[in-house]
Amino acid sequence: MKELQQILKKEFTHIFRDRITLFLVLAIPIMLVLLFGFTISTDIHHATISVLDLSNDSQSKALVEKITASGYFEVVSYPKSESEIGNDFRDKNIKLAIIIPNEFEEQLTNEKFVTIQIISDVSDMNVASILNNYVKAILIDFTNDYNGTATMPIELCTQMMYNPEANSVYMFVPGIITLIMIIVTALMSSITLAREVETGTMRMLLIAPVNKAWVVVGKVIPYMILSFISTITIIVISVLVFKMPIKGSVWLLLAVCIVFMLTSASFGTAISSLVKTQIDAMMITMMGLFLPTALLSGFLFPIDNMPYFFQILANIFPGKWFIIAIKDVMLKGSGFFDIWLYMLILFLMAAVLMTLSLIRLDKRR
Amino acid sequence: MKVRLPFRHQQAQESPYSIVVKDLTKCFGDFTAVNHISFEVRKGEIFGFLGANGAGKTTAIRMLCSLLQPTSGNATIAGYDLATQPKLIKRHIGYMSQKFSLYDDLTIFENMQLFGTIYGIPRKELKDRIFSRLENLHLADKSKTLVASIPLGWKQKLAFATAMLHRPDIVFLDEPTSGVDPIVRREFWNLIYEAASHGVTIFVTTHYMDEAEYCGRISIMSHGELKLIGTPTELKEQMQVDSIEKVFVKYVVR
Amino acid sequence: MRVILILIKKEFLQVFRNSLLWKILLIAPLAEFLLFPYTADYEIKNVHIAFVDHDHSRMTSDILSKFSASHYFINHGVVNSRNEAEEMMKGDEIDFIIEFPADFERSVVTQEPTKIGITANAINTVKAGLGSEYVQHVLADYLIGISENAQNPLQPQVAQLVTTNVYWFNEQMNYKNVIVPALLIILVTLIGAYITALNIVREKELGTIEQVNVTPIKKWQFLLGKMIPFWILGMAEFSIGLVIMKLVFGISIQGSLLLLLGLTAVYLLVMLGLGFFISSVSRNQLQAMFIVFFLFILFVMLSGTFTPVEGMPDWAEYLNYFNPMSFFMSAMKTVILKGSTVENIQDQFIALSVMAVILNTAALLSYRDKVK
Repeated sequence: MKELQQILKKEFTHIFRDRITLFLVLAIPIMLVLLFGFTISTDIHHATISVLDLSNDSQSKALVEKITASGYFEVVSYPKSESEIGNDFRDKNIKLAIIIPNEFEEQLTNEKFVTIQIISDVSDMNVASILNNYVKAILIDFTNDYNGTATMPIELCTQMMYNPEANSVYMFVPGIITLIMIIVTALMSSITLAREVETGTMRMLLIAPVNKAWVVVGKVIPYMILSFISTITIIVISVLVFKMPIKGSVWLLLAVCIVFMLTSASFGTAISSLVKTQIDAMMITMMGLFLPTALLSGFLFPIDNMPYFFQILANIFPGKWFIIAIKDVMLKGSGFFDIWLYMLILFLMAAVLMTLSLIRLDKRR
Repeated sequence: MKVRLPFRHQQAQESPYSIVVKDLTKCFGDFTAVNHISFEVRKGEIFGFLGANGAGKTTAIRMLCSLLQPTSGNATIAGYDLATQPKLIKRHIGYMSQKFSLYDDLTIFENMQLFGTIYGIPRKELKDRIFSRLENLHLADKSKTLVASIPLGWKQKLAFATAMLHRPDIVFLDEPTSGVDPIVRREFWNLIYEAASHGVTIFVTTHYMDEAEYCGRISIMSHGELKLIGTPTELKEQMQVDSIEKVFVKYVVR
Repeated sequence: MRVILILIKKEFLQVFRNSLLWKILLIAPLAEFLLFPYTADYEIKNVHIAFVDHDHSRMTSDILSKFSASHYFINHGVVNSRNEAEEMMKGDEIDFIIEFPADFERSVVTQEPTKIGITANAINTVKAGLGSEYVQHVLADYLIGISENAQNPLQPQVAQLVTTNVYWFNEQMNYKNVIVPALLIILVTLIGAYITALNIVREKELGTIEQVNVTPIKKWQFLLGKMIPFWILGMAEFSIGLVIMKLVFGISIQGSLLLLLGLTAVYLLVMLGLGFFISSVSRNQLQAMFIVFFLFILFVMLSGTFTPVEGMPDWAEYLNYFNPMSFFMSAMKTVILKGSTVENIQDQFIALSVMAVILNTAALLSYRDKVK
């Protein structure tokens, strides 16, 4: 135990001496969370569009007026013919073009059925589908005004569970917490261990009559503490600034975070046991842990849309389990008995990886 | 070799000194690592720079090699002004840092070729020089070995050979023999003597007191200040002891 | 020139001799590039749905089968109570609960006002939002259907506006066409900025940089000697990526290949300049890594790859004027998918060139061969 204390003391001295790095480690997660929180939104306002009005009668003008007034769109061009629309997409980077047909008013009054053409730039499919929905909503609104009645006699009462204001922050914050914890814990511990190998000091530590487990643990604990401070800050920011609820127990949330930190630190240690240089450690952590976590954990893309192989693959990255667990605790108010399985999985991952990397470290010596 | 002769200070050219240091000072914040040191080193001399760890030896040597900006003071190295002609100084000096700093992931030949080319040695001549050097060190058959896999003693000799490749006027050696065994130390000093015999000025720091005896003149630094300077014999007489080690101990104790 | 050539040789030797590094550099990104497009599918499908039916009428069971027929939904059928449905939602088994009131069918037939309750799991706001649209669509479809069948319109003849949708630049609505170019850019950026940012700091940490600094080498020679090898690696990586994009994902480049490569050449210069600038101001690799990481995430998030730029606040859009990835992303997308020409993307070209000049100058100026 005394050995551990010595190594911890050394590591903390290192960390506190390097003020710039310490500042970066603590400040960057905060900046990222704020940035994410304010920029990530799936609501779109002022998307650039073109409107081609082939009728130019009073009703079509009313429709165009409704589109411009909606606040969703910024009409950047009123082309004269369909052939100009192609250029608008390339030059003006419009996302959508709306074509109102000839004799709009006449068709509307006599045939009661008009087809509006919408051309979407689906090189960004998400935006395209959201914008299409906006247009449809405006059209329904327009016909309701025109008919003077609501078209649907049955009222649909939609209730948003767990997230009544449909705030997209709820969806992203757990993912952000996960990624930041991985970066701080896994990346820092893999790099700090790789640094000792790269500069040759690891050999000295391992030759010294110190239990090598303490060497690893002593190097990893300080970064876990830093990561824990980051995590708490992030959670506080999510609650205060982004109004994330914590419906479940705060203690349970912290416990889940600690388990996940153990897992991340073990991933970092395992990676460092494979490499000789910091660049290698960093690239493996980024390519092998960070990117897969970002893409497979269900944070950016829904897991059940993925091919079966990837749904299976997603299970070996700890991010998936952690995201489910903290979402459940924060948003649904789940208790320990709802999420104990996820915690156990994370814990087992940590135990296996830590054992493997200690064995490998032993061989290297 | 001396194609850039016209650029040299005329009086320095005639001067018997290859290094003239005046009031050189380096402060890191409140801490003064080197405090107004002044001395001269004659051409072809082996000048020993002694001091305990942290006495300021490395700081001083890095300033002289134009790797570190002095806080105040100046020096003339190989006839060039340290403050205004660093590029010319660099062309005429060799440097071997305290920490082995050749590329571990390159072979012996690749390392020497890299540095030789940077100094502008023509391709053919460079190859000849590298092999005659390696021949000299009995390393010719190891030229394709990765530097990472050779023992420390060889590494130090290799670093010295690389620092000498462009035939500098002065070579700065920062603790070249720390951590190697006595046999290699002996061999290393033979290399130094050989270089000095060709007229190269040697500026060497060490904390091995026995090595100080090999130097033409030595100086002792302590807490950033230059305390003593003279030939080993002079210093021993002055302090009335029979070895440099005792000079040092007596000095430090005092 | 000889000096630069030998420096280039040195960097290549170092990269390829570190067996792990060059594998990571070339193989790992390409492996990810091959695999991850299959995971990146935003499209909302597989909406899990369950019903709470207080009516148990023909009409409600007809609606149920409508949902089963739709390929957007996975129908979990009718559950016994509201509570049971909510438990299922809590366990993430279902995304939507649809609740029919008692007397639903009777109310519809007699045209009395009635309600259908839709409860969405709104943690995933996109799924909740689009899912509600789908639900409404299916319901409306059904109701219009019965009103026509019964020859008894639910409402008086009213005007209708319908839309026909035309999809440009990605006719099959294939998400891979969107994510593959984006992922390629992300990987090239990671390689360019990360490797270079760590490179000079690493030489500082190991001390090898002193041996170089003590030589009469010129700063620009040193930086070019570092820049060119990684520029070549980046271009190679990008080209292999393009080949995979074509052969594996079947995305062909609508615009000019030369234009695309030119754009990438400039973008890589920006990233390398940035990497070297960070490298020369950082004290150790950890610092360099954190700074690059921060910028990398910033670039990716602001570039609109994963969330729409149109949804960001104004200040974020202004920040994008300093985001090289955003310029590169938009230019590359239009060249690949829309076949844009030089005239269409000259703004991006100019912006990237300016950034390249500024960052490389900064790198050159901030690199010190002498410590202060």
